[in-house]
Amino acid sequence: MRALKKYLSIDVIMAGVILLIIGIMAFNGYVMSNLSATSLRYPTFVFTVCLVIGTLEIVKGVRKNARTEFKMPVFTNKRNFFFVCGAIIVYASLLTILGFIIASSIFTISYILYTRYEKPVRIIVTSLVIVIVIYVVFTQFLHVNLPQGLILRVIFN
Amino acid sequence: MYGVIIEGLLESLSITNLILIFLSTFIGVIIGALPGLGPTIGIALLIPISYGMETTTALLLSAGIYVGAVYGGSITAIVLGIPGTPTSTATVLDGFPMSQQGRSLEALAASTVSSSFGGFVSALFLMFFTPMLSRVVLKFGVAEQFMLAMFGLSVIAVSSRESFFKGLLGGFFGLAIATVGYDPITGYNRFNFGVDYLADGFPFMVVVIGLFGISQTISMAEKAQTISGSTELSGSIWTGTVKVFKNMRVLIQSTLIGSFMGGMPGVGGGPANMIAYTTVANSSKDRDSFGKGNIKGVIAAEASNNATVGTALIPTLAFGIPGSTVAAVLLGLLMLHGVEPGPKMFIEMPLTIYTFFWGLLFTNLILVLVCFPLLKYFAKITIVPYQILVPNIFMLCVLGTYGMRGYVFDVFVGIAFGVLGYFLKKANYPMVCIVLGLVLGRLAESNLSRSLMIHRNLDFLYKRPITLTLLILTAVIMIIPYINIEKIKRRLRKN
Amino acid sequence: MKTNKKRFMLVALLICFIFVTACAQPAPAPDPAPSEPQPETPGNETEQPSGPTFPTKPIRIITHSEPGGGVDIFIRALQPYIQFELGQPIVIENVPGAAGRIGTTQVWNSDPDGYTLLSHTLPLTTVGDIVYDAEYNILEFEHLVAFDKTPYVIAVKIDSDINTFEDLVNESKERTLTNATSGVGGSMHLQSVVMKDALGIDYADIPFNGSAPAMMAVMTNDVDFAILPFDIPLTNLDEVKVIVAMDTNRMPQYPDIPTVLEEGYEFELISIRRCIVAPKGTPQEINEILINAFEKAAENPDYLKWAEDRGVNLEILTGDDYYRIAEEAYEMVDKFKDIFQ
Repeated sequence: MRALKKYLSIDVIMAGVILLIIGIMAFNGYVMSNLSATSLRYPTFVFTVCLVIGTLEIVKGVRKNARTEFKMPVFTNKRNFFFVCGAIIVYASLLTILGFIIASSIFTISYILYTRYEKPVRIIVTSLVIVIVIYVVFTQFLHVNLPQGLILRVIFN
Repeated sequence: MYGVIIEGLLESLSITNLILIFLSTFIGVIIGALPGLGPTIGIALLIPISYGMETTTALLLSAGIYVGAVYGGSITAIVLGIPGTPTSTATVLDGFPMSQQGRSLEALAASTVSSSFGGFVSALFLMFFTPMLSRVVLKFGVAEQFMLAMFGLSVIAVSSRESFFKGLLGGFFGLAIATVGYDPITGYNRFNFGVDYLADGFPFMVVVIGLFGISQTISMAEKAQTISGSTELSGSIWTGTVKVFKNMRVLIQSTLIGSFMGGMPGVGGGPANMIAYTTVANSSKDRDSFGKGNIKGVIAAEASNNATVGTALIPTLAFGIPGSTVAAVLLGLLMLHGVEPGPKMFIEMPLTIYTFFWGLLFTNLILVLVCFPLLKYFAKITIVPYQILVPNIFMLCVLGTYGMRGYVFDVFVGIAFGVLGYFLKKANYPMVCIVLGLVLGRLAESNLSRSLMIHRNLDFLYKRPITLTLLILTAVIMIIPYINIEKIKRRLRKN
Repeated sequence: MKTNKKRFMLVALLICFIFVTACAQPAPAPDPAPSEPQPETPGNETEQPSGPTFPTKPIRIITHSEPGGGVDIFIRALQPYIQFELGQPIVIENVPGAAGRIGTTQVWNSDPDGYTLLSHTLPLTTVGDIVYDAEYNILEFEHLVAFDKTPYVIAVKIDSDINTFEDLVNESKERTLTNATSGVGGSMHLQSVVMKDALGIDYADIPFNGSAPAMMAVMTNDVDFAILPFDIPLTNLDEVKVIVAMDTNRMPQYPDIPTVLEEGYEFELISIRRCIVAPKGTPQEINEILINAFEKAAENPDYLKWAEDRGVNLEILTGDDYYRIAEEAYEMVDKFKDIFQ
């Protein structure tokens, strides 16, 4: 396993990810559904090119990694990265349950606390005001729907 | 006939009308700046409000909103790296790096001036050359539109010599993503695992907000810095403006490309800014500095996208066939007010029409007046501490992705593309190419399929004058970066 | 020190916050245009049988077309008059995609409380149901009202050799003609399929994104002809010419153009109808209030004037009458579903 890591740099991994995504799409297109040949003509062309170039990139990358020790740096700060990613995923998940206002507020507050900004109270208050203003402007004036939150509906209906 | 033109000019200069234009441009800019909203929604919102108004008023308001919104998208594109409208996607490519270098004021100024110029010229085309240009539009059928898309895509192959294959892979990956959704010819859903949300493919704005906005913000949160990396701004509005006029070739080239593509129904504003950007990038000596904060990129993108506004109205008003989605809504507004597009319009209500044309012209000038005082404040966003910006930007991204269709699914799609984009950037895959593939994929495929269905062989690629010209241009563009002019000159001198 | 005051403010803010969140239901938006062109319409709100219980908040009408598209313009033109009749704002939402299926499915899954309605085109949604296995069952919606009857005409480029329907049929036997449709599974495509089957002719259907681009394709000479809703070519009669009207009688907008019947050909003639339906299970009293409002709105003199200027062919059918033609459309599409590839 350790030996494998030597050959994997981020560009090899990403070429692999692209091929994986294409593979998933292809699986859905060719195996799972019964699309006609005409539907699939153009995608086949695109997928094939992706496959060829993707493989090329992987081979190129692996050979380069075998020769040199230098790898492109990926993360500058892993902790921040994972926290932010986790936070947005949780935020998005909470949108339907808690509604836009509450979910956004929780997200904002927890992020500010996490980053340990000085004078958090002031920022939190301003942020909450911004959230409310945005919500009001978008739903009342612009008629754009924003998640209302199932819990709210249950409580207040 | 000329009398009416003058009358229209005077009419549009009346105080009430000027105030209307001013207000609507301002509102348009704000609507455009918010990701997920754009000129389409702006004008759609205007429709119910305009019921009680006179036709001229409604038209002037729509002109302001249209122009303002198309420009407004560049503000968030430059300052936050999130295109506020699909037409500002190319602006991000060089505008945001400029912000990251602290030069956001310059970028914003350049964007405003270029937009103003592009829109102004386009409005001139609309006013004086509609009959002539509408003839040209009729010469562009499906084969020509396909070649146009190919021309745009060919640029992928030459975008960057260092990472040629990465660019190519990125471009085809973009094309692949664009195939999700229903096949434009047979109507059957492809690659969407039966998920209805994806029946029309990935919503373009969601992908773009994710790839650019969310990935950018994750980077920012990770690095724990302000956007510009420092707390000082450099450059000024004046330097930005001057630079626009120092690059007249870029300005004029992009304005022409934008005007041209805007006038073609089926193409419209979306691809225009990308194609102008990549064309300018490829024909410049400092090709490799594009994507790293070259102001020419901003000029190209913004001049072209505002240049699509005026000409998009040419087929709309001449034939009743909208030149873009926004033009379609505008057409709806017109029809609700009893304006019938076509030659009849010029006979029945010439004053209204010419007042509108002049109004559109002035909107572009007023744009500069409205925006210049505000640019300082927009630029300041790049020095705001990240702890404040990060959550608010994510909130905007959620708004943008959710507000499009009202599905939380779209938010997750945006996040997925955001994380993907983050890693792709780390792996040096040029974003330009991926977006090009996305933007042009559908255009290319649907027109290719249609051309094949109509002609049943490939002779449409070279037997028609326009497609042949485009084909040659494409080949030329692909070869130019590899021709070493110096070597040839030296060889010739030796002989 | 001041910490107590801060704490107090924070708590106060929190309370206000919760209060706003609780009230975060879309309140009725202020009526945007108080100066609407409304002369006195006879008998408007006084006829609502169940008093002020419906509607009490804004009503959403979802249309399956892009903004500016066919049914979108139609419903927007009617909107101020419906709003006037019902006394509540009408918000029109565009949910385009998948030939109408996405928007229709959304309404199908909505609460049957009368606050979400669908503005759609018959037989487009029927095709989506039968041919494309959409999630909804078109006949199980509550059928409220059908507004118009828009038959088709056939248009060709102005300098085309094809001048009559007879020419078209004959030419189709010599070479493969091309017809522009508004999209796969659209109403124009359906009429084309029906025509080919009945007359035993063949030609290629080339799908475009809507009826306007389809006409554009005729104008750019990409296709030989297009079967278009009759109002579309009216704006461009110096680029295209209409060769035949696909209706049982001559159309007033095209008095000199013969009908297919006159030319000696008989087959199923489809007319598109713009209609409104409500989700299955909406209570009958609510349906009646809505039908009433729509009928009155469409009788408004200002609206009638707009319709006349636009050349819209109003033919209002409500409730059971509308259901009957919906059934007929269903049977017809069912007959032809196998030809649809």
